[in-house]
Amino acid sequence: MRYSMRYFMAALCMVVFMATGCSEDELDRLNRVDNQPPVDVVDARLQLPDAVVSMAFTTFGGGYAWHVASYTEQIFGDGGTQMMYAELRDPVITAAPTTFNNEWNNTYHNLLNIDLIISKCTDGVNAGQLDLKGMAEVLKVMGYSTLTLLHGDIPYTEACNPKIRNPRLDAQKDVYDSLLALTDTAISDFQEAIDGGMSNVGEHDLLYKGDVTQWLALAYAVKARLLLDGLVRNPEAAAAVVTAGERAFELGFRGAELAVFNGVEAMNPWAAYFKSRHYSGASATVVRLMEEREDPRLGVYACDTFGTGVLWANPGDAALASTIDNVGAPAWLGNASAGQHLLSEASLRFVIAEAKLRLGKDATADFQAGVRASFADYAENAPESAGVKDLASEYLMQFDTVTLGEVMVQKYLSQVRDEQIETYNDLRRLRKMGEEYVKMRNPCNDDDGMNRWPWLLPYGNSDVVSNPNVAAIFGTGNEAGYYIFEE
Amino acid sequence: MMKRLSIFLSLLAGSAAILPHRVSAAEGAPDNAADTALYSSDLTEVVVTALGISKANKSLGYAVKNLNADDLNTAGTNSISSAIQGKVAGVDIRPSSGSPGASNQIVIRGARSFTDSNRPLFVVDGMPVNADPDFSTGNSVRGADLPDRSIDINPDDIESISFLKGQAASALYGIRASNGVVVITTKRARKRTSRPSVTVSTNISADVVSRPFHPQQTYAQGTKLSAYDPNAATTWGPRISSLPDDPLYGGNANGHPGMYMNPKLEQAGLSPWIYPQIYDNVGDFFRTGITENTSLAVAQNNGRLSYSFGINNSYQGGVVPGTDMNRWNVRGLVDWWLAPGWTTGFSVNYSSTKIHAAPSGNNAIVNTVYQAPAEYDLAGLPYCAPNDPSKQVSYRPTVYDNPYWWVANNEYARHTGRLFGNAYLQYDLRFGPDGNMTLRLREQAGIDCFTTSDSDVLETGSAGSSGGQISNYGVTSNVFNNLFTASYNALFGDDFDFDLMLGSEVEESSNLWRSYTGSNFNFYGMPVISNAKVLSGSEYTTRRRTLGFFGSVGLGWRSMLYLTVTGRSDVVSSMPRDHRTFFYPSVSLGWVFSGMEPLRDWSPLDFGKLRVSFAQVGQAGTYRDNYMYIPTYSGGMYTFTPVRYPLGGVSSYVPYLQVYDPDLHPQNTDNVEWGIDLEFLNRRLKASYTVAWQNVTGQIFSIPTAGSTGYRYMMANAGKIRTWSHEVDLNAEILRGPDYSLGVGVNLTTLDNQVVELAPGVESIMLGGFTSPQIRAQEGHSYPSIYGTAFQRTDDGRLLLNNGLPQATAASVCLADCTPDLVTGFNLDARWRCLSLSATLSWQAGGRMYHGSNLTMNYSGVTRESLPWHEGTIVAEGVDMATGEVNMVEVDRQKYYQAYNNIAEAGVYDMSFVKLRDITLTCRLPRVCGIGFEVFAFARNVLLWTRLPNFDPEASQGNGNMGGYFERYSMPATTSIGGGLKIQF
Repeated sequence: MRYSMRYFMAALCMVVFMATGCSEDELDRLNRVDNQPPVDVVDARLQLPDAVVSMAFTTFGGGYAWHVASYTEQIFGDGGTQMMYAELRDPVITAAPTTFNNEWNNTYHNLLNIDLIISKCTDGVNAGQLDLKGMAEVLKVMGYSTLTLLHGDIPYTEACNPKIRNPRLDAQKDVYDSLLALTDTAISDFQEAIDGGMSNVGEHDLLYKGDVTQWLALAYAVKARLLLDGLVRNPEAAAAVVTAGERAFELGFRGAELAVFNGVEAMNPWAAYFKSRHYSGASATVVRLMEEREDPRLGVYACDTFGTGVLWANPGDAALASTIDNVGAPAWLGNASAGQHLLSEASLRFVIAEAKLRLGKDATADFQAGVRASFADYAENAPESAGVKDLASEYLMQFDTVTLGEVMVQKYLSQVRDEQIETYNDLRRLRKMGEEYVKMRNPCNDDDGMNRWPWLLPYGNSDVVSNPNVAAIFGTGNEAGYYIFEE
Repeated sequence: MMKRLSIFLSLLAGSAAILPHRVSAAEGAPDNAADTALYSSDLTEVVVTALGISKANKSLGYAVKNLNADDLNTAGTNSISSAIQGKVAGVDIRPSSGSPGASNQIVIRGARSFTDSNRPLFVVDGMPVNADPDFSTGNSVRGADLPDRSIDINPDDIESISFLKGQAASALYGIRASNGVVVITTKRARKRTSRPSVTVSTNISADVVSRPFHPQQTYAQGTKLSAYDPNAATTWGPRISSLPDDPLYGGNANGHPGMYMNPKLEQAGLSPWIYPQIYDNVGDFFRTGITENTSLAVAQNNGRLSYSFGINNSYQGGVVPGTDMNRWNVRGLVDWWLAPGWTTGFSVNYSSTKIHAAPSGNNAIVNTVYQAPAEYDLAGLPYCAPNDPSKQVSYRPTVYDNPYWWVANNEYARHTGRLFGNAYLQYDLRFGPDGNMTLRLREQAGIDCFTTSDSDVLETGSAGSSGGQISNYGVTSNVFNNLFTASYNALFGDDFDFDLMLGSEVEESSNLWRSYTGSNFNFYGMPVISNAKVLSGSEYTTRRRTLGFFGSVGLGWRSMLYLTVTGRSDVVSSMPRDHRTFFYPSVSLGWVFSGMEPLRDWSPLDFGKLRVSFAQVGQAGTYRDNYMYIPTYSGGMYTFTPVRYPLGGVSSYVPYLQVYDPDLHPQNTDNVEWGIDLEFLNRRLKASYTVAWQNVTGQIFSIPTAGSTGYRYMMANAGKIRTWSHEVDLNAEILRGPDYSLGVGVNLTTLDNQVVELAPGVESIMLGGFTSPQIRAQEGHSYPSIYGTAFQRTDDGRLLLNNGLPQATAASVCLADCTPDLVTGFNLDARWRCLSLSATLSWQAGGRMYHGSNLTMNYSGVTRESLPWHEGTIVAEGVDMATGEVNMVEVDRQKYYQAYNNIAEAGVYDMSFVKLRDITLTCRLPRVCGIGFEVFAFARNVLLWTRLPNFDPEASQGNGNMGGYFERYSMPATTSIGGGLKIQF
């Protein structure tokens, strides 16, 4: 009996041990990883820094910019591999779904992060924080407007929802209208936050250190740019462009530039790319425009970077495109501490100038302010050209009257530094409006009568292979991706 | 009756440790105690099955392949994979290279998982041990190989290996078993002796590149025939002999007749003017490697105690300078018969494995070796500037490291210290009216603990990391395993045999992962983390617990029909709440039809069995509550990490790229296996055929999702793989005499591993490689396949040409299926007096791989195949894209060849080969003064014939599912020739 009891107790202990070891709570505990905080508990303020950094680094300063800079002839692509093929307008790169896959994925991933911030500010751990919510909304507008302008129709209403694996595409116009409305929501949220004295973000705001008024100004600036991009559909919007743009400056808009790069732990995206690959050179199209104007910025744009004496290359020059460490590159590409714009002061000045000229108004002041802002930007980010800033006034003397053409040329030259995507948007918009102020010279844009200048960028590969809605547009076989060459 | 009882018990008794029917309590341990692969008195082969249970092979309803120590090719290698290559049908082994510690991909009967491990479970002396790599090589396009942990097992310690290939064979292992199981038993004392037996063995071999690359040596560096270009990345320049005539660099017109100028020499502090000469840059770089294995083993069985201790050292100096491996193994094994019925013992193994590897892929050092223009003296010229060792000098801009600079400055070091083993206590009871029943209770507890510390060091001045970088990373892994089994065996009358086994298993693992990176060193010469200006690091722990309950019932009838039914239920912590419990059944039937009339008396047939089995096993996934992480910026175009948090004291969290499906349920593999075993002519001719069908449904894997979902992957159930495998084993003892024998064996495998379905809307999944090409799981194709840009063609298959040149598709397409049509191994065993000769030959028919080295070096004008394309023009066959007419555009041959070899499809090659894997001649000398001598000579991986140009097809990238099919400047395969000595006393 005594032994039986022992055996029974031993068996009981074992059963208890096994049962405890199998309990769902215990197994949940084991399955938790210490450095993986659940989504719901993380304060959305901690999500904002990367919402900004990703937008600046990946969406505006990453692969989209590197490639379209060749399409706009602001940068010459070389190095004998990928950027050479972009420069030579080879569809293997320009029409391939893999070319912009990283940017496509990362921008949507950032938009998911931004949606979560908005959601948490609505009914989550940050409920009621309208300043933070407005910031996320502005960034959401910037992200989606970039995607739809570059890719055309895009997943929007069904995007960033893990329950929908194959989001449907929304028409560009619908996305555009929705974003305009969202911009107004952001403006309203900021206004309410200012009225309520909110200051929830502080140091987590890498753009303005929590200055909500600056964000409100940026919201107006974004609205102005968005309205300008829509001019092709709605020419009547020019007045609204001016109103929104001027409101931004009234609120003290001084540009949206991410300036956290110290060149060591954090590097400017263009500089990091150049340091990694040396695929970027100076383009003759820019050089020619600068030479025609005796532009002092030329000295930092076309440099003898590699001691080869080759300062620039004609767009589409196959021989130079196949070389590496040969064609000189803009000086700021060597400055890993340079800032990266989401929207520069110069760009907004030129946006207003263009709208005013289309309305038949004088735009001299905006034009001059835009050129001065651009000179200051060059001076600040290419240390070799520190003196350039002081030469703006003398430079401006050559422009007696401000024409739409010169506004667009100066905007083009200003955006050479880090807003090439905006230039690409402008060039396509103007072409659709029947206007061309900066002539594209790359002979590879035409291949035996077949257009090879991309009107759109191909969708990201992840959607092409995993989303039938996108795959249907992308096509298959020899012609897959060639829809981008059709206007 | 008693004889049958004895045999029966010997066959059905429990684990690897002991066969209780032979153990008389009074006698202590039997001579062959703990034997696991032996012949019982009627020569019925006994094999080790799941959970170490020894069974008569004839009673099994599924195929089990057993290899004994003598069957393994252990000389000249330190890898278990290498030792068993070509030996077993249905077991596919793909080595990554011949480098020290090179990873191997082992897959039994095709893949079951798209992206997770398809490696079988390894069990050593009853303890499951980790044989996967600690870290994946990811897309495997840069960096050095990372070994799989089977490298810690010394092949010379192995006494026998059983391959449980089908799921019915392995079902008792539960969720870990779907990839099959490799059951290893280490050497132990067999015969009862009065004194210890000591064995000393050593072998040493010289290793060379199995198929050295020979570049063209006619044309010089340059991008076009008309001009020498000492900065060009290609070798399309003028003839080397005409370099002095070059208008820019030639000396004939510049005061240096007969010479030419290379400014790189000036960088090295030398005169730039030199005479044209041809250098063997490839031959200069690779060295003769050395592989050495030395073992000392002491073993004894004194009747009550059996012990075996051993120490082994394996050293391999690679053919690439700077690469090596040094491994020490120490092992001990004791079985102790405590008292009547009671047995205890332990098995413990310690290993220390240090490896120095070299990078392959995009930052491969062999890249710079192979591509070196023949006129550039890569070995003879300094690799750095005078007075500045961080400034490399090479024949091209320092996008790639000068290999000699790399050897002098950088390293990829891997070090693992590991301890695994177990201890057991066992009680055996014989009872029943005639002693016809036995009961065994066995408790076994084991551990598998290791710490891996890897270090990737890039000194200041490295290509792609000019400021230098060091990455120290590793894992500390602890696994505890407890196994309790109760077995009951009985004979009922003359007709029925019965066995029942019940048990439980608990396994708990904990892994601490750590990674510390430092970059931008303060100064050259001290590439350590404390000298770095930028530091980052991370640590985290993962845990997992599995509890299993299992049972097995076996019934035999008249030694002709054998039915076995098993079931196992597992509870796994890594699955979501309420989805953690799985049950897996198996049933198998063996019918020894040769025991029936009239076959029983048909003399040519000694043995014939039909077998059929069905099993269901599953795999668990890893579920997490959706979480956030601190993002990083690297990859893509960046060759370093350009942004790290915190930024100015501010950090950030974003949603993790993978979303988890809370309805995750276990993936399921259904398996049906049929087979027949035949033995003829006094068992001198043996044939075995197995066909297995395997259907994997509801796979758990990271489903690549549309980026527009905001996520990159979803961990969910999806996809189907269906596999048919056919395996044939033929063995013939052609000659048999008192002092001679000759035997041959052939094993054949064909496999159809079809990806039936992925996830809704998902056509393919990337396993590794570049954006294009890459290795993928592609719906409607066999697994895996090659995916990349293809030639644009007309509907009738003609090339579409754009301005006379081939044009690639913008989107990638499936280019080829990788799986070979047929894999065959031939084995020869011959003995005459004291001499024996063994050989293993492998023949692979079909199979495709992407060979980046051939493709890119064709593009660069480096290969001998490019020679006819350096000069002249061509009007290529094809259709002009613009006009739709036959092409009439004449282009330079060089331009055409480059355009052709710039399309991924041109890099897909047939990888059929025939290779003599091993040939060993052994002489066993007569014992002198009780000392036995054995000397042997061997050659490994010789006599290669392959359709692949220039390289050995068994050198490739990746330590995962893409392994074997994607090559790009991979480390080379090797050939070894050597000899050895074994002394026993």
